[in-house]
Amino acid sequence: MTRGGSIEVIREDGITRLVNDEGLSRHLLIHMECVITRLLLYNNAVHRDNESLVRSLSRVLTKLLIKHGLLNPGVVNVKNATARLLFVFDALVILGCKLREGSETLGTAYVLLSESLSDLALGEVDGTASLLYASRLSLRGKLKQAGTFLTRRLGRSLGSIVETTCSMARISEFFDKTGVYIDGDDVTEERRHGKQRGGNSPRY
Amino acid sequence: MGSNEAVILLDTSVLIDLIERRRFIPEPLRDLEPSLKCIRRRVVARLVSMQCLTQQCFVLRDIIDGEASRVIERRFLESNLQVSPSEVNRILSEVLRLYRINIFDKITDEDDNTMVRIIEKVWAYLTEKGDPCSNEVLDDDDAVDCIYHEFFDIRILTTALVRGWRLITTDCWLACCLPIIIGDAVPRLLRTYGIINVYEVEVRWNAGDGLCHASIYLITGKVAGNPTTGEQCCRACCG
Repeated sequence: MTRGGSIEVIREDGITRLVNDEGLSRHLLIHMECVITRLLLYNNAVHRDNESLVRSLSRVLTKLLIKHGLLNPGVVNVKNATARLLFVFDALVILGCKLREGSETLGTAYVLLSESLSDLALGEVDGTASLLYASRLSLRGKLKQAGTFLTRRLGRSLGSIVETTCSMARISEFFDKTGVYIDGDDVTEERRHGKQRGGNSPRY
Repeated sequence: MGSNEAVILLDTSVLIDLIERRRFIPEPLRDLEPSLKCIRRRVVARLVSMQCLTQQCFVLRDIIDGEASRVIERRFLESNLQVSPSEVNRILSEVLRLYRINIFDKITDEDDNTMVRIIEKVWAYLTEKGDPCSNEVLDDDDAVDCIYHEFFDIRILTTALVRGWRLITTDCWLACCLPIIIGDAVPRLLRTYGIINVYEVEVRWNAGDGLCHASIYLITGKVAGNPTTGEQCCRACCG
């Protein structure tokens, strides 16, 4: 499970299997919705902090996605819960954007669920609940209702959320294929490159 | 965070983080424990989405044609691969479109004059007081070399200062060290995302004929806690 010297965190074979099995994808989405809703409600009831929620959720969802062959089993050992949850987000984005080609409502529901998890990972609980609800609406074929709800609650259109997410996924796919990784730190390294070459102390 | 109207200028570091916003790169590559970068990229994407949804966001034309393209091309070269300039342009244009970021190409004489004065100030600081990280006083050649490599961040900060714009960056040196070289920086912790913090740094520069100011959103995992002075922030950035 390595590619270009890096570990394949999200498993292509798992993605392909779920894209080809709409029933299984639907089942997995409903399962995740139940888990997230249950933990959100529990968290609210016992007044736990967001960090605890992220920890529980990332643990449960990581195991679930590993079981379905979407994530590398090694992800379970990632210590940082936020990062682990963002791995889940990443896998769901790829799956959702691919599913949209065959089933718009199911794919959109995945994309919205992934955005919901991303908001949760960053502590934006209001966004989490709204996106989760919109995901449920989308899964039930109510795309228009989901769009109206998101515009009213978050001031963001459904179209722009999905387009941005899936377009960015396509750009990332381009980099994936080449095995080239870029990062904002490349810029800061470029800015200090001359300093290192000149023998001066690095700044970071 | 950012409720007041402002024009936002994005640093190259932010633009490049946006390109890979969803992807997780295990660092080091053979280790599944992801680095701070993974979370930072999501925070950057979120902050830019929020800001650029309601306010005008810009990147400099120089950045698109120069630094950003060069960084992408260099990474391909390091992997013994080639990427065409049109492909790089396509990626950058797509990111700009998706995040509603405009290109700013109206650099004026005032920008150029201010930049010259800021470069003089940086030059004097490096050759007299030394690098703010190492305190090592640079000789003329090293100071020229340093300024040459810092050209784009000096250009970006100058543009923001001339217009009183807000800047978003992940580059600690740009947000804290450069401002203390040319004037004054006051950081304030705005929000924490666990291991990634967002600071607002108020930058002031006495232009001689008046005070210029800009505010910088710094998204970083390099600065811990709550520094209250630019010097503390800069020292934390130096690591």
